[in-house]
Amino acid sequence: MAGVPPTSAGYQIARHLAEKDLQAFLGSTPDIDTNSAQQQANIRYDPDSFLQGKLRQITAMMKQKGQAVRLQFSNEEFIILYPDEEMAQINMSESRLGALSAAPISPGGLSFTFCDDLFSPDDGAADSFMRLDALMWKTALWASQGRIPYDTDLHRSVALDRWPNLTRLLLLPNTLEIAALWAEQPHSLIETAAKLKIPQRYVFGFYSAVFALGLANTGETMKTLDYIPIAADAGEKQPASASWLSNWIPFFRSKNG
Amino acid sequence: MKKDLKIIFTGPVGAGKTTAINAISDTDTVSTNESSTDELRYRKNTTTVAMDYGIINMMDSKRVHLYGTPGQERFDFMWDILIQGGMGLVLLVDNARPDPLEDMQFFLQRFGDFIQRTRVAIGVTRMDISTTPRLNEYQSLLNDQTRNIPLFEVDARVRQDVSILVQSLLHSLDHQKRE
Repeated sequence: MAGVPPTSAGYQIARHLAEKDLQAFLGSTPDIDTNSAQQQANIRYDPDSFLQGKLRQITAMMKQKGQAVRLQFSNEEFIILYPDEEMAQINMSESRLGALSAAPISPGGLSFTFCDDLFSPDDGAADSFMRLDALMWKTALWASQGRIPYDTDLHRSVALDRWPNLTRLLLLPNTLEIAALWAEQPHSLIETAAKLKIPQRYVFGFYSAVFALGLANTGETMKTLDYIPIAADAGEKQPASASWLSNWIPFFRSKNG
Repeated sequence: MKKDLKIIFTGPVGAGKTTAINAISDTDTVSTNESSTDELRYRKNTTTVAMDYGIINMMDSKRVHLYGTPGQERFDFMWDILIQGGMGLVLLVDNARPDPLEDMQFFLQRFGDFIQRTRVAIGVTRMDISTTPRLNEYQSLLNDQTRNIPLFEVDARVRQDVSILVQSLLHSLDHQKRE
């Protein structure tokens, strides 16, 4: 079946809408000049001022105590975190959660209490349930909007400690590519965007999300990967080259989502 | 020269190899099924005895060939035949089996030489039936591996899940370290 021509008005509108949807998570900041202190400052934020950071702190306490926690927001809205199930019960809409995640939390804007673990997903008909890692991932993306935690070194190599469970997390453009690159070869944020030829904010957003899950490794414990040439198994076709494999992957993605 | 990709799906009986290939193949899949016997028949009516085969059509008439191995060890002679020419391995592990962690270890070891030459991506299936072990327990075992292996929860019936798993394998192949 013939697709919509990329130059058609419909295509342009669809693309514009898709970009608008992405902006909530990845912002719209253009690539920065790393020599500009002002531009560097513009792409930084403090996760601890947002729901992302509060969740991280409260989750750490919850796991230590082994008890469920109820986060209470100013207007009767709440989130309950369940440590054993690693789930969150959320009694607000997705858009409301996005708004709460994207704005800094004012003093007194959030309180929490430990409570009994009465996890019962079937009872909370009006509430939604989300996996804890998915909640932390998403709140980080909403807070980040394509920015990075304030003390991140743009030029320091980043590796993934392990792959996030990407089949159950919000997938943004180039997520799998960045993850594979950092799993195979540590690269700095700036190098990553240049190597993959993608907007820096896509890399910054992904970094912020894996940072929220504690999976971004910029230290000495990175696995050092030995060189292993890419090759088909013995006796068959010639080894694949990165170039032709690279050409395949976008097509595969467009076919299969 | 026409360059096609060949990807192998493996894993224990009932992990969802046939289902996953069906989910992502562009064509009707070819399966070599026989009626299950002994204890297996309580889990599924048929089981793969030689291979499953599906195709993803790409641009310029190129194709990704998807081969599924039989899960039962008594057909393991097919495993070595099917990996010939393979570019990478998708390992599916059934979380509802008695010892899925041991299953993962077994297949990683059994296909160890092939994985060393290529790459592997692991999908843990049927986590809706059995929520334990959790992914972090699989990850703990993978920490001993020299590589950072993609590991996801997967519903083999869901095309998007299988697609992400295969894409992670392809991207890993694309970015593996070269000198």
